[in-house]
Amino acid sequence: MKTVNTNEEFLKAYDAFADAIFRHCYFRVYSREEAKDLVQDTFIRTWEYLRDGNTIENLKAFLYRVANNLIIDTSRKRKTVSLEELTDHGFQPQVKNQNPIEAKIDGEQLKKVLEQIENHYREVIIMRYIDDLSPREIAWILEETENAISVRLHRGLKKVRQLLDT
Amino acid sequence: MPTSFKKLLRETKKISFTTNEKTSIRNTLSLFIQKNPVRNGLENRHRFQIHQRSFLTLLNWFEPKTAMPIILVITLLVGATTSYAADESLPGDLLYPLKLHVNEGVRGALTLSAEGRAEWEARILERRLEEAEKLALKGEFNTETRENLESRLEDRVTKIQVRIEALEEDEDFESAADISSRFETSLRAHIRILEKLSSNNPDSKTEVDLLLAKLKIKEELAATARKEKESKISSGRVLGVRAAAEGKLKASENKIAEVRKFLERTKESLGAEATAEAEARLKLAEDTITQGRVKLDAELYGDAFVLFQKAHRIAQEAKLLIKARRELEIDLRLNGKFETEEDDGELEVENDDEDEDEDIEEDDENTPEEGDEHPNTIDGNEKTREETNNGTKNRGAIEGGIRIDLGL
Repeated sequence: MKTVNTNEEFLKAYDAFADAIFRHCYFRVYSREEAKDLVQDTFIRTWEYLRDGNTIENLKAFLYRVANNLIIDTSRKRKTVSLEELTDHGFQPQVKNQNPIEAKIDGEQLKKVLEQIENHYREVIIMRYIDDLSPREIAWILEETENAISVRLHRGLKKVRQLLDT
Repeated sequence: MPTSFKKLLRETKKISFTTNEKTSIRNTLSLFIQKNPVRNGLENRHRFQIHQRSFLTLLNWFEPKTAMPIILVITLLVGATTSYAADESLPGDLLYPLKLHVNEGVRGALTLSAEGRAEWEARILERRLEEAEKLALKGEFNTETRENLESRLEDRVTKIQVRIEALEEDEDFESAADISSRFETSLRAHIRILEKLSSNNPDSKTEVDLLLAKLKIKEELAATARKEKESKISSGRVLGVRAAAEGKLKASENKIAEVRKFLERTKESLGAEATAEAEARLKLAEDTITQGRVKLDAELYGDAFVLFQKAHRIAQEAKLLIKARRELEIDLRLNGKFETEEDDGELEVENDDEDEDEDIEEDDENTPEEGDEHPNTIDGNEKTREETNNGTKNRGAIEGGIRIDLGL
């Protein structure tokens, strides 16, 4: 087998995937700071997994899975109730379209929409349309069947559409 | 997807790390991995893969139980993205997983439109049923095969339904009705075929009957769904019903012409009885069109649409039945004597799919001549290379028709 410097390879993987993971985390937690921490955590944990002697077949999907799990853990640990948690419990914040100029800030509009849908829809929509993951990959990451993911995406989009129409 | 959503998505691409942010985390990471080296002996091997689109990983992911080494060899030899050899395989064959995941996976991925995808899903369903029929004919349709098939069918049916719903969401009611209709037709045609097989093949009878029971239920559901879609159109809630009806008229007339031509070409290998049946169906389709025209003139566009679609269905059913009869007839003879003709059978099936690909309705460019070649392989002489390479919508998939004789 070719000799490979795993350290270097891993850093290359970081270069390749860090932006995407950051973007994903940002749209889940809505805070740049938190997102940065999550990215770092994700890679560190992934490295630890490798260090312990494991092999990873699909690094990209693995990173997303780790990130996803971290995000879920974070929202559970939060002491103040996050909007994410509230929507999980069915709370629908009424967000009116305020100052249209404000709404043009990068990603603001989408953030607003995403904030209003339940977490399990939000995560698949982000993965599919922002992270460009395929339904199969998403199914692996979330440990669901591909079918379940298709249905979820479909329903999630429906909700997004409803929100955009109001 | 609504366009405003797409616009919003574009905005999201702007969110990313600043170079500083990214570098600073990288440095932290770098220090960390230096302080936490991999355990001895493992640091110099590939521990993960960054690039995912290789065929090998696709296989790894989806069907870990396959006989990996042999399939790897095949892939390397073929060097193409689909395997012709696999396309004729049946459940239980070595190459079957390739057929499922590579041929069908690639083909699906290359289809871009929502409607095209739905069509392809419907086609896959048909392929599963065709496989079942071939097995039944051989007397190899056992409980395990049936159960696998049923669970695959469940999945497939759900997928089709999701796609149909998606088309409706996009307000493409016509396509939704079309796919619904096609789905129903496929089921009906194959139910008929299986019924015949059941009565002629006592070995497979029990299992086929079980399968039939399930399929009949699905067919009813499909018919109900289709009627519902049609009523949406005929109730006039859709804008442009008139255009839809007129388009459907053209499509169904084309379809009938296409099937007629097909019948002409294949009459000889079909037998008198089957030919007569097919003719009768086509006549019925034509009568239905006449009825539709009456409605059209009376400006009852919704009703006209429904009738034209019915005519289309009848013609499509006739075609499916003709095809099936031919293929099963061929198999009948193969099982007996002419083993060598099996190779030719592969090419035929490949064109088969192309054929279906061109089968998308409402297509003005879809003149009945193109894309509907169906080489008469029993006579062995009529297939031409041109026809094989025709209709290459999936250009990526066809690399000059490499075939492999595995001699397995």
